[in-house]
Amino acid sequence: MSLTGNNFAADLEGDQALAERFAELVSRYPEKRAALIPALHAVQEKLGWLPDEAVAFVAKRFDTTPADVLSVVTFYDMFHREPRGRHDVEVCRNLACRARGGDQVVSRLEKKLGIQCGGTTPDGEFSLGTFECLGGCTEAPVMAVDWRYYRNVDAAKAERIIDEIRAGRAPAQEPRGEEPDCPAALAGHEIYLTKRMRERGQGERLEVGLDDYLDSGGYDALKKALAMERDAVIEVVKASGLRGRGGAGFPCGVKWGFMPKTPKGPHYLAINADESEPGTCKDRLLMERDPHCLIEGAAISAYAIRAETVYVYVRGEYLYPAETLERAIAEARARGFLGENVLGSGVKVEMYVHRGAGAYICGEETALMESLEGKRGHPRPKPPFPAQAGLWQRPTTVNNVETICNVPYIVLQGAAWYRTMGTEKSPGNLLYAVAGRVKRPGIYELPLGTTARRLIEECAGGMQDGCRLIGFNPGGASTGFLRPEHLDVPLDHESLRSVKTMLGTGGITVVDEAFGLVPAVETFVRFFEHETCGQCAPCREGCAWASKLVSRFRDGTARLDDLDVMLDALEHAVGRTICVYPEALAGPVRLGVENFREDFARLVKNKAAAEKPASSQEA
Amino acid sequence: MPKITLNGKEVEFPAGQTVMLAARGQGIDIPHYCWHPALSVVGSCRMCQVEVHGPGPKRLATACNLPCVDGMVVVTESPAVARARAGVLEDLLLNHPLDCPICDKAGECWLQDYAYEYGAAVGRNDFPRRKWNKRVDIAEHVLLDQERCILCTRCVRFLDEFAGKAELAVLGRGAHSVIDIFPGIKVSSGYQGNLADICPVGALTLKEFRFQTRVWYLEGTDTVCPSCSRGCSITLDVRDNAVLRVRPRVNPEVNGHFICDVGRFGLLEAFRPAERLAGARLRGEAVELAQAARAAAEGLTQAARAGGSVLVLASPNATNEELFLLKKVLLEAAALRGRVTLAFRQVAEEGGDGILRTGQNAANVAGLRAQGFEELDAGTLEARLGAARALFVLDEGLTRLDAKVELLIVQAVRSALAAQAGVVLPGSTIAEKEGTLTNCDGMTQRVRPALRPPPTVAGDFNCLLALGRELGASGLPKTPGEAFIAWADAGGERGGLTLAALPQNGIRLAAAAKEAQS
Repeated sequence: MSLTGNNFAADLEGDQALAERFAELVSRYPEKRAALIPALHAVQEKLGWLPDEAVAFVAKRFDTTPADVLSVVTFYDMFHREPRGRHDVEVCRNLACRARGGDQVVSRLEKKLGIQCGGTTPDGEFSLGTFECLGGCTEAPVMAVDWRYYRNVDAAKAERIIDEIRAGRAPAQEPRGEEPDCPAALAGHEIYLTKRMRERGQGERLEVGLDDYLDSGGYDALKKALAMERDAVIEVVKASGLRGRGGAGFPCGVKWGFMPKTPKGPHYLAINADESEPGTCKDRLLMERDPHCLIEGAAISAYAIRAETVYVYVRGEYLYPAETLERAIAEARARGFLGENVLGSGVKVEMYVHRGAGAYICGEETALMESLEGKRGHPRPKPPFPAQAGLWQRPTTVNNVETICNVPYIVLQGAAWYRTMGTEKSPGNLLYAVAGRVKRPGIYELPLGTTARRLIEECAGGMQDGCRLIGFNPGGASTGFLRPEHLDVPLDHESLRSVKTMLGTGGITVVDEAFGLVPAVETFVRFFEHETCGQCAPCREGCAWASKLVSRFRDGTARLDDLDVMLDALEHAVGRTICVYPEALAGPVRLGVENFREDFARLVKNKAAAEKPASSQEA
Repeated sequence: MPKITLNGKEVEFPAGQTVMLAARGQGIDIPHYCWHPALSVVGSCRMCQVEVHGPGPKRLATACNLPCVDGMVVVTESPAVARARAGVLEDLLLNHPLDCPICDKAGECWLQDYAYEYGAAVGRNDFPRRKWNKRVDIAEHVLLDQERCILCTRCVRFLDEFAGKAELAVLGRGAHSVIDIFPGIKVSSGYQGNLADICPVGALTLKEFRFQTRVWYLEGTDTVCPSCSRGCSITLDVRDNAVLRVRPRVNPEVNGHFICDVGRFGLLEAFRPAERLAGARLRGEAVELAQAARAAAEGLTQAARAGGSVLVLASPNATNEELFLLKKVLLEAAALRGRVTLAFRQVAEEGGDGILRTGQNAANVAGLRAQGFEELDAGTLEARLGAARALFVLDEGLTRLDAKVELLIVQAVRSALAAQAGVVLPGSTIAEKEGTLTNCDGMTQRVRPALRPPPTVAGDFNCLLALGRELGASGLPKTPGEAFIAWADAGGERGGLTLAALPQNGIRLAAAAKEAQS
């Protein structure tokens, strides 16, 4: 009997299944510590939260101190340090969801459940919270119950979901919607990434099963690659000009070329599925609907860079994609596409899904590696670069999901074919997303260099009736806001530089007049304030300061020089921290202020008039 | 050897060295918070930014994790560097409580110092400052003020990497990050006192030192910790003839950067005991030192003349110079020739912590051995006591004497044995001594007097000199400095070394290394 009157410690100690789960998790990694976050997930699944006793229990199992484990626990948003309701209801609070009524969903739920955000109903059934971008921007607003996503939720639907769960229905993954077609835009363009899922997606989840995948030429690229020299695979990817789809656009083949050619120990491939950039939801689509494409790409890529182990770091909120992928991995392994001896070639490739626990920064490749190793997601100073010393100080390549999904097609159809799509420096197709108050939000596969106008007006059918576009975010929170006159700028790595931003992930979010540009900027600044890891002083403090300053424009307490102070506060940090996080915030804020200064100024002036004392009005 | 150009000067560097270390090698101290020479490098405070002019484009980089590359050009002070540092300071001060007037760290605070040097004159933050807990009881000796903390994580790394147990951690994320313990589990480390030293600001303070003094009133004396045979280099911070604080002194040859809590907190009383022998005594009466010394000399002479043996039990905390003088006084006295045994009680060696503490809780066992003092285990000691006619005890640790000896002389600061003694000579505390100690690895280091003894207390060296004079000895060294030279000469190669010129980190002396032949 513990002093606190609970039995958590005894419960955990006596749980044989949990012990076996821990052992299985530990077996996936070269170092035990890496299983820490998955193990914390397992304990939280059991208890609903992580009380002190649970943290101490895990610490003991991982041969470390409770303080050390607590430090990890408190870094990640998904781990709870307070008791939670039986069901965890989270509503996305980022731009696309807010623009389409997410805030109203939250207020209705608060009323319905009779609790404030962050609270738990007295009967212990529901806890309600908001979360930063859940990666459902084209299905906004998104609400998750126990990390099962519900899409296009309005206040009424939210109430209905609660009622159904109260009535005994277990939260289940809602059927996936088909991505809208865009016939006008697609005319004359080849599609490959989404072709299979459009033609062969089955069941209510519209997923391409292994048989369908094989039936449509699946894993042929893996066979072809295994018959090639490893370096020949790297060469074809290099020749294709494939650029990373995670935001930075680094040439994939070049990155692979950094890996040592004669391994002196294990190499690793880490696939970045920590898709958390507001406006971005394409990797979820790929994992949910065509998981074998990712697996095939991973196997080829691992072969090329001489890695025998692949970890897919999936953001913790993506429970369903992680489950889908794990199931597909098991199928692929059973059929010899993964495992000790892939397709009898003598090549070994093992693949594991590793769930994160709610931290945007873990999408930064070195933070991802720290997190995968079971630590707080603090980016590492470079050098050393991952290809020299990455996971467990071994050569590692980190690639985005969509990047890896391009690989089978490039291997099978060649670099020349690949270069028929897109621009010279940004070849291939991109999964553009269009979110916000457009008629048909969705993910559209189009060649790199497509304009935002084409995506918004032709693919997404233009703005909803009665909505006026006042600006747009071209590729995720870190790309800032452009003005309507930028709609014809081709969305590729080079062209966007001319308007002081970058392609990012290609996830466009439109901002309409009713929502307003300043609240959109504020949403992003608050996001960055919430998500900074906090290790570097200028970023930790600068983001928080900027967030306070920008919120004054909502409160009506802003002064004109607040804008300049905010920009300057962020400039402190740019180029002066371990990772580029401050750039990801400062760039878009600077751009937002530059492009929309009058919107900010208007909010200042109003306040100034309102504050004018009565006496001076008389005078 | 490859070279970098540092502030216009070419500097050679060994492979893998960082700019921070290369600069320090040139006496250039690049401002920093999170970097600590004894801890892993995290590069997070961003204070150590310098300007790199190549190879590659001109840029700012943190010196702490920037490897030197042949041909690299680095400037440690420039307008861009100053702006970067001012930016970091503005950020660190956004939520700092600025409670310097009540902060123990004021005067030796790196936030104050760098803000003075690089910071803007006016703050631009007009939001309320972050509220955290200002008084977290994290350890027996240490309090944490979370508001003053700048999250450099030195404390976290120190406990994890040096003390071996991650008992402090950063909890939360981003601007909500805070240093804390796990609920209910305080820092247990026997090295926790170092937390206050490595904290660059006033976030971690010692309960013992809180509100005791402003640091600028302290006078530091570099000396050696006597709490075990490691002999860690320390500084005693003194005000009004009292030691208010013990700090480690960096010495790569002995203790690196840190000291244990026994040395830091355990000796404050011993440095200046509340109750001590106020002066010389003869059969219980207070007398002048000369009178007591005369009585002691006469007693010893009589014992020897009567054919009895004289047993001297030296202190394992005596300096080499005192031991040398003791030897010279007693062995060279004609009246005592052949009758004197110089010995010390065996000091147990057990329970070292594998970090700094050796488990041998005495400062100069190596010195005793080197000068040929005989090490007596309990059995031998008993036998020798039984046979001794006169006993001269300089060993504070000997608190009880069951054997009957005709003459008992005690030289001590305070000793339970003093009440039994015929002659009492007033000794000095380690904080009052001048001389050297030799540690378990044979490093001889200098101890310096930080405190003045009471006027009536002559101290160990002078007591021995007085005894020597009464025994008719000649050519005695008159000061510890002279004793050092004589001792070192007797050992062999001194090479012109003097006590005053002893290297700061200590030295391996022939005299301390070999068993003297007497």
